[in-house]
Amino acid sequence: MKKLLILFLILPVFGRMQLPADQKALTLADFSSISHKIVYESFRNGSYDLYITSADASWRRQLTDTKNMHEMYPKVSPDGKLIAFSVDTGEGRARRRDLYLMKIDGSGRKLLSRDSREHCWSPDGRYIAFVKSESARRFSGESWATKGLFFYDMQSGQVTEHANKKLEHLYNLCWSPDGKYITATVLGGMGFRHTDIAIEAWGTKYFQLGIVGCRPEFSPDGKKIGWGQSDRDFRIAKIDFSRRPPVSQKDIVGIIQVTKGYEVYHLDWSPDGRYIAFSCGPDGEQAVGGMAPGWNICILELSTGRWLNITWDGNHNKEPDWVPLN
Amino acid sequence: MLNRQTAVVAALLLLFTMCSKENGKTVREIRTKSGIEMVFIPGGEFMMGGDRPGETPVHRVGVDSFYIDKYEVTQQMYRMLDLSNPSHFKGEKKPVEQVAWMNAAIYCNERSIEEGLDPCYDENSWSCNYSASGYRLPSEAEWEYAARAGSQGKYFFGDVKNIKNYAVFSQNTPGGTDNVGTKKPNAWGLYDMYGNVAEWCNDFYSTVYYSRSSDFNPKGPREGSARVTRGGSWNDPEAVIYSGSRGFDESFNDACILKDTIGFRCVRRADK
Repeated sequence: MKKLLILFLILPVFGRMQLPADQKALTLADFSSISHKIVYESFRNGSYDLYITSADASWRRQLTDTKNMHEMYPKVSPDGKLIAFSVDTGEGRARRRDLYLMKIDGSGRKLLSRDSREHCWSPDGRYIAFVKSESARRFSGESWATKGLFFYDMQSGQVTEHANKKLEHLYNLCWSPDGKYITATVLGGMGFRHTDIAIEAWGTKYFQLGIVGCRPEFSPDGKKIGWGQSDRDFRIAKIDFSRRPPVSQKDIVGIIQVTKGYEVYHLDWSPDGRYIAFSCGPDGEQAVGGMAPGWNICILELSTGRWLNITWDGNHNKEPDWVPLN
Repeated sequence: MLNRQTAVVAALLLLFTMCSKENGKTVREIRTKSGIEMVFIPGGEFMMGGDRPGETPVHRVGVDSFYIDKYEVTQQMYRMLDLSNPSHFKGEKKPVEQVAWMNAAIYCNERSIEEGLDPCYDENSWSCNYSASGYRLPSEAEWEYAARAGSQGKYFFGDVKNIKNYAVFSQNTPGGTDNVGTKKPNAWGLYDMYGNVAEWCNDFYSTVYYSRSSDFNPKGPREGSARVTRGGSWNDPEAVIYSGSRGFDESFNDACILKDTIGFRCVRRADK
């Protein structure tokens, strides 16, 4: 943690920041050396589609182009060859959200599981963990309105349920790099009010992480975790599963904060652990499927705390996910 | 899902289970097709507000007759409609909590659909059609009129020393919410109007609205960032548990800021 010089910045105006006097402003050129690309969702022409971009925004390509379907929440496989993603179809209470898979170039689209969402990959790429929509009566866009924890086996194509059948109201799954745990935020489930937990991937136990907020994500080496303390700030901390809780309050550091009226949402660590990508914009409905006009994808340099937009069109750009391999 | 025609007929055949005359008003209890107990509240006038900032000026308000749930919406009622239950304190007879205003409105719509009634809420704009036959959240005026049940003082039960008999609040909470209906009702037979969970109203919150509101069926400001909550909760002190006490909350639909102190009850139009 000491190697990281984390600056706690107050960002008075979206897209601007107060930098120490000896730091120059960040430019896109500073990201040109990042070889990893980013996949994200964007709403254009009446529906969400997936896009892939270079970190310096010099190159971008549309991966899906469907009408009356919303492709969202992309998660790239550890080998960088596949994307698991959500597809919403239908409208209003008849809407549904299914889990799909395709190649990194957008071809070979395949349905994996109906009424399934909030997915993540196992570190070896064999499994995709996901949760299922809870209500059979009507669609709920609420992230937490889920039931169970399930695994799609990439080798057999079979879906199996987690050993603990009492898991409920989980969202934002993230598999630890050592393969042992899956973290999630839970609301109103398993006796919790609202907290973040780690679940044994192949056991039945779960426990609290010791953090407050939503959507924890592991650093690539599994030694740190980052999350949204609120809609306006991100935190990171060391994580050590040999202790309970695995996050100590003294290790928690703020890395970004925006002023009221603006929000930041769902960070993702770059494969080299030097950057985080996230989405940001004015107060909106930024959860999956929600409309967030004015939102863009941003990259933050962890060593300096400097950050910059890499999209500017404000087309509800959200859920960035780094491509692990070039 | 009920056949719509059957449901409409059934809804018209609400079972009348009890009538009583309280404070000069004839209230009666009904049981809806879904089996939910409601109370018919006859229209009338009352003095709305209190003496604290945001509760003034005390002003005369009239409301039309309406039906209101006898109890706060329970987790059992949520389960009956196969809706995800976000509550922290689980229990079939406990009130649903950690429910965003938007999800309370969705519950109202689903309950309407279940009974063959016209949903009140447009789920895109979240505007409320007060003329629709279905369920909705009470206006702030309706809530306070129902809570007062004809009383004019600070409390519907008279002396504050009796508050523990009428409200689940910070001094007698079991460590969270309690089953609905464990305390005494008000004069119109409504339970937990004080305490247990604070209850969403349909109105946006404004501290200055009382000085400019309509004197008949006021519906709150046209827009705002927070919605009104009323009645106080299991976690609130005695000081905020009274008929005119106003609360507000911004958790319209944000899961990160939901509170286990906020629930709701429904109302529906009573045809003249």
